[in-house]
Amino acid sequence: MPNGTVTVGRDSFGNLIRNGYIGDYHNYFEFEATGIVEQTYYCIEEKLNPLYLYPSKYTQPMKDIQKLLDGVTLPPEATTLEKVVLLSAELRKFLAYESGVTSIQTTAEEALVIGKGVCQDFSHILIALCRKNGIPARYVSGFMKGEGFTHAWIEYYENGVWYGFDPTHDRCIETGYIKIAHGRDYSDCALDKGVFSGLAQQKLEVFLKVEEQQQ
Amino acid sequence: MYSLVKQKDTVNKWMERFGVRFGIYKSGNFHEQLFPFDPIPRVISHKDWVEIEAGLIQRVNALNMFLEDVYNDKSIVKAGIIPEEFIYSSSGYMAQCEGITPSKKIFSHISGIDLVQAKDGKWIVLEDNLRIPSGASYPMIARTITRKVSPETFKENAVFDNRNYSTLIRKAMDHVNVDNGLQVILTPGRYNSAYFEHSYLAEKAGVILAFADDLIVENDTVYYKGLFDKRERVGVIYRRISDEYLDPLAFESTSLLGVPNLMRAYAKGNVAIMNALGNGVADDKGIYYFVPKMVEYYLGEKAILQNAPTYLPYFEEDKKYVLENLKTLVIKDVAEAGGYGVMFGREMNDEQLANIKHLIETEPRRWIAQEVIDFIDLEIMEGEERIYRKADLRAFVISEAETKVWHSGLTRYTRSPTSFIVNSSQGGGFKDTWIMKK
Repeated sequence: MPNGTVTVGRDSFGNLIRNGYIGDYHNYFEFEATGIVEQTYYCIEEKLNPLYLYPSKYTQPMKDIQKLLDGVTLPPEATTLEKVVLLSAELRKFLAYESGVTSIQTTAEEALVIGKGVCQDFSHILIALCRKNGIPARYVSGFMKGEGFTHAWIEYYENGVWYGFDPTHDRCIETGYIKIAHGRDYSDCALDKGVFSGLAQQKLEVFLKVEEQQQ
Repeated sequence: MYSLVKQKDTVNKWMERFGVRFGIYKSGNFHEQLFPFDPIPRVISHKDWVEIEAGLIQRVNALNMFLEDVYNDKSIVKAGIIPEEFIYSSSGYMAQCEGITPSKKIFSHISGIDLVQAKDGKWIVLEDNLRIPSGASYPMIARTITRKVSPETFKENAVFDNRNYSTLIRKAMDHVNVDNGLQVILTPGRYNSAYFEHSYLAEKAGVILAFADDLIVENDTVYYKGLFDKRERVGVIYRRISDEYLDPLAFESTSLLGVPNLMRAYAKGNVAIMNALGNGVADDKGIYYFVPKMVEYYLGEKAILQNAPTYLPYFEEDKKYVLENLKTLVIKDVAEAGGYGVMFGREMNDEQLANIKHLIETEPRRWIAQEVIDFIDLEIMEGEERIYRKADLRAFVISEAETKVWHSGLTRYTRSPTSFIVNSSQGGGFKDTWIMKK
């Protein structure tokens, strides 16, 4: 395998980006990222970027999302967390977890019409619902303990702090989640993407493992 | 000029030989068609031009200041002049461009401002095009040909030469060029509607016409590979590919037209891209409403050129007016371009009116409404006959060390007697635009 170059930078959402490039002909390549994460309580103090208040590419609220919203009344005295919990509960009435039905390009509205989806779809719809109710919300890509897949959840904003909420499991996040990137929706924080030029078939394999370190 | 009118067919034949065409997609198929040329020029008096020119320079300067502000401090939002929603929910706003200051702080190097002349003689701005305004090559080549077939016409009339457009472009490229690198025009290829223009401008400006495959980014620097795979540093790219296809790693990942990692090289300031990415936020049909306010805010001047009277259903008061007066207004979808998504209230039946009313009520941010401007008709030749048709003018404004207006423009006319839409993608033709020296 030929050697490539790697550069490191940040995107405009504040995510760390590692960027590799191989200029020579090659049949395969691989990269590995490892690290030790120290878990703290999930809260991120940050100034609000108003960007997270408005619909984005994958979270445009169209007819079906609007219909869902029309069916919920949030008590005005409810806290932001209570509102998020209510919206998430409402969402679960319309969306069942099932993999293989939606793809990474499915929008919130499309997933809602289908009525089935995965963590990405749960997150997109909840983000759309939050933003429509004036709650700033953003999409998070990351990992949970175990082997297999990446996970996605949301963060909502209250009084200067971003808190985590996992709509797929319908619960607040305290610890146990490893955040890698955030953005307006999936399109801002795919964990890996790449292109190659040439006429070739491609096969992508991803292996992921998160385990607790013995003290 | 009479001799020129007689030569109409000769001019059109020459243009056909030169390959002056534009491509359109109709029901999924690509067609190339000729862009019909009408020999009677639009003549703009020197006196009118002085005012138009000053107005355009002022407008484009304000738009460039707005773009710098939007992607940095957003002071115009903080000052309460533009609601933040109009920025963040604009389809042209690119969060990826936050904090990026392009070379020499110029965002819109080439601006195409669409104007019409109302029946009272006043010039009115209909639209700003700050992304990839096209069309300058048509009057350029038309002038080249008409001067050949009818040289006496240009002896008798003191018209500003317009064949210097490529020099203006080249100067704009040289002005922002980073580290004196190569200058390239990046084209999506021959299936783009304006491919003729890309190749013509590259030839006339003396720069390289590059396809995505010709460019490569290594260590956040752009190189031109060329035929023999040599690497030459690129300093400025006049790209004719829209933002979302420009870099598959930063935006649309399925794009084959783009250059991977171009965005990173650009963000680091290692290459100038003209026009800058993210300009769509300033030529959004919703933002248009605010342009005269930008002129006042950034320049402390009254806008010289007026907008068409525009209403934003986003504001309650405007919404009320629009819903009550739908029949006399023209409704535009802010997300559409090229004459698509434009609806005239007077042409709609009751069902369509009810439909659009509902849409305005449920998605107010998506629409603008304008009074229909009764703009002047221009004479055109149809066979041996002179007839009148609606026409507009796209003026080209070049921003480099100073802001300049090209002494010509693209005058497009509609071929259908009842239509007000002049876009070439909708089947219109064009005329030369004469700016008089005296």
